[in-house]
Amino acid sequence: MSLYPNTYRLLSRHWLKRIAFFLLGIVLLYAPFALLTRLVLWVTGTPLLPDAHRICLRMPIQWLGQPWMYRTMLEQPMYLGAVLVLPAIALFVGPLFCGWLCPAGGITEYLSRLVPPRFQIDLAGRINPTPIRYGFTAGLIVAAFVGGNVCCSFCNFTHTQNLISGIFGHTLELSYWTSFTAVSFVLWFFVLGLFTKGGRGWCNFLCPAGALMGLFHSIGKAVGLGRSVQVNASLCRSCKKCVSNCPAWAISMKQDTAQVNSHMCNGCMDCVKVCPDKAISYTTNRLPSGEPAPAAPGVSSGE
Amino acid sequence: MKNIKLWSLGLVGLLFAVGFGRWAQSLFVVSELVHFSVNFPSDGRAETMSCCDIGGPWAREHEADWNDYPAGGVLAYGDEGALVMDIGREGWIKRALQPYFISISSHWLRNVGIQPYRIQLEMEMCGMDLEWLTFESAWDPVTHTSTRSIEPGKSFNMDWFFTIPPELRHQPVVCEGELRIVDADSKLLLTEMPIKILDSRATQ
Repeated sequence: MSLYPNTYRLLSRHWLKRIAFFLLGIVLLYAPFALLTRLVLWVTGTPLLPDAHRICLRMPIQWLGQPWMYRTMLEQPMYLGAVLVLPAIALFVGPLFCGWLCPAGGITEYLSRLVPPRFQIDLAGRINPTPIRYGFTAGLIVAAFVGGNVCCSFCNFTHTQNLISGIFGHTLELSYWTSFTAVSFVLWFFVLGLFTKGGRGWCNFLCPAGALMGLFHSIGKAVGLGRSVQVNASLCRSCKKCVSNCPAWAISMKQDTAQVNSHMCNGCMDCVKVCPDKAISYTTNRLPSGEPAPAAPGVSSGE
Repeated sequence: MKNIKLWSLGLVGLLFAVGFGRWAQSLFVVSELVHFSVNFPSDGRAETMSCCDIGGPWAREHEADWNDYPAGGVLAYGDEGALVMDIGREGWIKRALQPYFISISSHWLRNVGIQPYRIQLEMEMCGMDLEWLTFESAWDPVTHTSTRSIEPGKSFNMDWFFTIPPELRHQPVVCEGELRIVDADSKLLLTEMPIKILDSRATQ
């Protein structure tokens, strides 16, 4: 791991913890395991096989433009969980699903660390992904009205499921390629994954689930609800280690102080671990008046 | 200025999504991953009662409106007819990667009748070897039969994968096959749908 020697020494245990959670995400949500999905399907008596498609968040977002399709949730109840639970989690504690559980982002993030930086596109600070991601999400909804389909044709969750299934011997879906799945795979895995610094280019530009959770996270922070990653300006020495190590490109410098973009932060907390001055912490959001907000349900106030 | 820049970037994202979506759908509906729905029963008539449209039409808005469809029944949207796919209209990427490896998909084998059915699926595609894939747990892969009853208004799903053998390639009409949906208990034909695979790039 000599490609990022200093970072590795600081973050190795943190990364191992996150990798463990990504593996947990695979076990909970992806076939052939999908333990959480199996449990919900069993409890609800739904006669479907458990895999990543049962927890799709893209389709419920697209259905904002096709509301009659929400009746599908009656037959596939985990869509309800994805569209209610994940934004609620983001509202109160941040988009921790993105930074800690989602294998589709975790796979490319960690594999990208094996690629020498000189082969990677460094977009952090060069382009603001926030409006692009929101625009893409809006386009996902609008496309259905203008003869387009983005939801399933441009899905990295499907690619991740197909890869994992292929590893365990179920190669049929992995072996079938269309023009649009080939393009989306190359974009997700290579262009915006392995060959983009941070490995989260797809998440940052093109993930509607991330956009939805980022929106709720920002709302929570704006109204002083829940917790988020924040910078103590008095402690920040502008070393920019947080900026260069943030896979979500969520940190920028403003007037020599790091600032966290809550629309983009995925809650990975690499910045918290890498800051030499302990200027960044995952802490309770405060109301605009500066008063501490009431604690979110089940979450204690303070650090 | 900053707001204009933000809106411009948002517009870029939106246009990318819409543009990609339209390109993908143009390939979806004609060749690369054709989705279709099949409504049954149709009183065993050879005339098709099946439609081709992504998202599938709902034959009824509410179950209370069920009557003796197909007689007098209506479709919410979509077209009726045979499933037609044209491998000559595949995108250049698909044509380069695997032009003869085909998939068709139905997430909506829909019971539009007034009683539950256990269905058996029969797919004949000019003798081509088929691979069947479903996300249903109540499925017997040996007999191609659902092991649960499909209630009125509910659906079953199935994907099929097959490779066009060399002897069938390079001709305008590659194959004319069909999908039959049979009542697994009474063995009565519920409906059948012609499936045509064309190659508009082939010459006679």
